[in-house]
Amino acid sequence: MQTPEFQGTHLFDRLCWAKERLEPVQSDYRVVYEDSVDGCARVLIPDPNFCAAYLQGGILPPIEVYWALADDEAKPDFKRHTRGYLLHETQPIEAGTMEQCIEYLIMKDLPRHIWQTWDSGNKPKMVICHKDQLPSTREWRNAWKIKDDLTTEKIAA
Amino acid sequence: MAGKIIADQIEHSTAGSVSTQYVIEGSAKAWINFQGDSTASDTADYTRDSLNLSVTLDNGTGNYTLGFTSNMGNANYCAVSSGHSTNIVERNSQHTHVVAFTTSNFIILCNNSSSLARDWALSTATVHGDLA
Repeated sequence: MQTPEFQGTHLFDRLCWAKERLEPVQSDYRVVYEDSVDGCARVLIPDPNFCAAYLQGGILPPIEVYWALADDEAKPDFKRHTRGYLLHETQPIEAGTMEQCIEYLIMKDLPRHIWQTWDSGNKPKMVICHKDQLPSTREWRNAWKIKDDLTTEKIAA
Repeated sequence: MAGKIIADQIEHSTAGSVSTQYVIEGSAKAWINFQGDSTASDTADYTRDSLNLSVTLDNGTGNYTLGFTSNMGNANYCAVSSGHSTNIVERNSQHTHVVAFTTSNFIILCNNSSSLARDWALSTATVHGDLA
């Protein structure tokens, strides 16, 4: 299915278009990350409608748009977005793979200090895995941690 | 986009008219229905359906961050969450909160009647407000 020329169309309208026409895509990928030493590991679960829009292409804005809005919101005098047009008027990104979709979501929805320094400590702060590699029960969910013996070399391998 | 209708008002033959602004302002800008107690061995989909969300961040038991695809215009929107756990006894007085609003995400907290965090089999949320 051909994506219409969406540059200049409100992003929400594009998402409604996508939801009406595209089958949701359930990803088996999960991103496990640790935001603090004391806290448990957190897990990113991709949204199936978002994945469908990413794989389709021509719908979502470049990741830099989200960073610009996050920078605006981080300012102390922020009240409301005045550059929301960036979401709607920036040329949408082309279709990508599911792996690229996961990279996009990491950079969009995880704290920057996690993905920018994921391999700088004694063990990785972030791991991309498959759903079936997570613990099989949530009984001890608040004790989940990334394994101490996991190294960045093992992940790269 | 094909099929676009531009109108400032919608008029019913007998019930009167309403400004389309009411429809736009009053429509949900994001919503989700997901399985908060999903496990690795679960074959059911984690997110059953949604609109305008990019991720669910599972922060721990009964604690989920929902990220918007099309950001909200400010952090003064209205988010409402609901649902239930599989525990019939706890259903009587379990409760959920929405906290930590930003224009890019917010958090749902699910508890049992003793305010202890619990994963709910049915977790839902809807958001009203202004988009960026």
